[in-house]
Amino acid sequence: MSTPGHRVHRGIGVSPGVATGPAARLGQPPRLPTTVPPVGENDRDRARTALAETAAELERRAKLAGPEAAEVLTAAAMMARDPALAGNVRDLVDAGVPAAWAVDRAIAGYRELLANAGPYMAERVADLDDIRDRAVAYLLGLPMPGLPAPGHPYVLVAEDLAPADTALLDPAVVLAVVTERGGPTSHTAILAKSLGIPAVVACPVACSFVDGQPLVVDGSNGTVVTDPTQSEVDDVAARRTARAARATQRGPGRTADGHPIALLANVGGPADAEAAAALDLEGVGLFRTEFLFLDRAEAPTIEEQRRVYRRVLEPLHGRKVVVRTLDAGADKPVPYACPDPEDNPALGVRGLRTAWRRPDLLRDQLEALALAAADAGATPWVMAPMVATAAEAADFATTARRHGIAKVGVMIEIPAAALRAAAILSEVDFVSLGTNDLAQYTFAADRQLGALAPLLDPWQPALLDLIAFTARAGQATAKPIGVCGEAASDPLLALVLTGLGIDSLSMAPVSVPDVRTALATHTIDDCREIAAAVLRADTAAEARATATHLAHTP
Amino acid sequence: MPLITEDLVLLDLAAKDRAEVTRALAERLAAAGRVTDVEAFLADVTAREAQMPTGLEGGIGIPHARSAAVAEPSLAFARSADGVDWGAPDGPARLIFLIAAPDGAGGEHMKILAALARRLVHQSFKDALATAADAAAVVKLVTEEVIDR
Repeated sequence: MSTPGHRVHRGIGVSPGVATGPAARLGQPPRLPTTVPPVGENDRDRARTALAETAAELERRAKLAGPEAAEVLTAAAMMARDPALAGNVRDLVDAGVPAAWAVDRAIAGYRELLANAGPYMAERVADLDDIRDRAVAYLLGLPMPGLPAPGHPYVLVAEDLAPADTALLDPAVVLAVVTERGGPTSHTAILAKSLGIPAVVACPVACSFVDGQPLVVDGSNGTVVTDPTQSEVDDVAARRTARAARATQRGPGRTADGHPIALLANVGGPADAEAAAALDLEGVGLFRTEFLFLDRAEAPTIEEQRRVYRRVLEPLHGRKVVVRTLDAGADKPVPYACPDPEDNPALGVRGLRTAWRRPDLLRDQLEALALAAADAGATPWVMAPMVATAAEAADFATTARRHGIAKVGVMIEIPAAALRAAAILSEVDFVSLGTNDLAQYTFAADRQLGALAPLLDPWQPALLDLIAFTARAGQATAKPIGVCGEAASDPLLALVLTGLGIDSLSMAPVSVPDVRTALATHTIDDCREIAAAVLRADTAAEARATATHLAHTP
Repeated sequence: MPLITEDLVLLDLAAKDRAEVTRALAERLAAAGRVTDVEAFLADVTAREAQMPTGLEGGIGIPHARSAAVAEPSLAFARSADGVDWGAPDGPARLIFLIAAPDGAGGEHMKILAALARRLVHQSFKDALATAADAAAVVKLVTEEVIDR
């Protein structure tokens, strides 16, 4: 029996917005027959062709896809073209394993390596699975797995999505996405966000949805409603209309009475920067530079970095850009920066600490940034990650200023730094609160562990206290305090942060319209009142309830 | 006038979605003379929900509005055995408070309503509401736990 309550299914909302439509399931991956045939005469060539065809197909899709998706697809194509993989497949065929089984087995080996290589790499497992499915389908003469084509717009339902599937998603046809697996940093999440398609991942019951079943997908709250009532469908229309109206609001972040709050984007490279430059944003509050350093044996040269930084700074000319220096370590291993394996990498030599061992990496990066700033005629703000003490902040500031960086800051993401914010601010020009890591270190709770999620709730009173404490230090010194964690993208929490005295909020660009509207419909006094009430709450749930109630409409 | 009275409590409401629950509660408020125009009030509540849903974790919805259609600050309460989607990330709402404040309501009422929102998320209070035998018990609970505190 289906009761109303049982129609509401939980997942993780990774791309905001709400949509309704019939479910359509992703084409199933091919199954290998249980009886293994003898190896064929041409299996060596057939296996090689299958991998080459798969790579070619991924490259073809990369050409059709947008810049962000193209990058992901090209990377997947490179995996398919990996000579080591081809070698393993050949060896298996030579040992008597038929082509399709050889591909399956060779990729399974890689898959295991990747799955155990930390959360960042584990998310790439879907890429490998996709290569396997395509190559095996090719070899067995089965239909290619992939997007359904029911002839009408639909909600895409899948166990997980591979880049090859997501890259060609057409927002006019795919109304929303629901997956059973995946996390906030999976391709599904990244690409759905970049396309503005509402998405819910990690929804355990997703695979029980049947083709044609009506769904309401709420990517803001992470819920899926099956078989919605008419008024629930009408609600979706009302919320989409309200959302569309919000999207038409323009201009810099302001409260209803004109108090400015800069609305900034988090970007990870030149493509993101170009995309952000086209949007109604005041700049970039967090430019992550890791992409330049990951997946390579040696650090990029000053000249290489200079060119890339220039490509980020130029499109954003005249706007604020905050660059974070290399944040290596923990979930972003960079072997030449942090060579020794550690038992607790999250508490190890990471962030600015890697510069203790490789000061040349930091010096080169600062040099490249200064050169790129001159090339682009820009004045980037530059900050260091994982700073614990005022002395570290002072060291970094001295080095950065010696390289000609005009605006120097540090991230506040360690409780020690938040507690000494005033001392740190006397050494630097600004600070930026990284609320995700600040929560992790305040609660001694690993960000990657789902079981600890309640402790990592950005509404936790202890976290809000540390933010309030840092903001007070900022106001006392009249220096800018930004927030660049997940907290900044929650419209309700943005009101609280504003009330606490934060000056800028940096988030995924897709979240900006909702935050802009929330600010525009509350005065600075409203925000202060909400913040004061929220600080009196004893639990995260109380804090959120208080803010929910005090927030209002125009 | 007290914020909540027995006629504003609907136990075991069989409404199947947000709109039905809200309307049922708004009609009670209108019958008690606390809301002067049900449609205008519902429009204000719906506008607030469309901006940011008011579902809270733990099975609670707190639809609310400051509205010109409200004559008296009021609370109406519904309990739904099956629960209805209220936009909270952890599932449907089973305890729903409709909070009505007149346009330009004073600080005292807003304080009480904020205290209610904070109190509501406590497990013991939720449990008491979920198991309250009748409307009188709900009114007594809310009055003692929130209003008189």
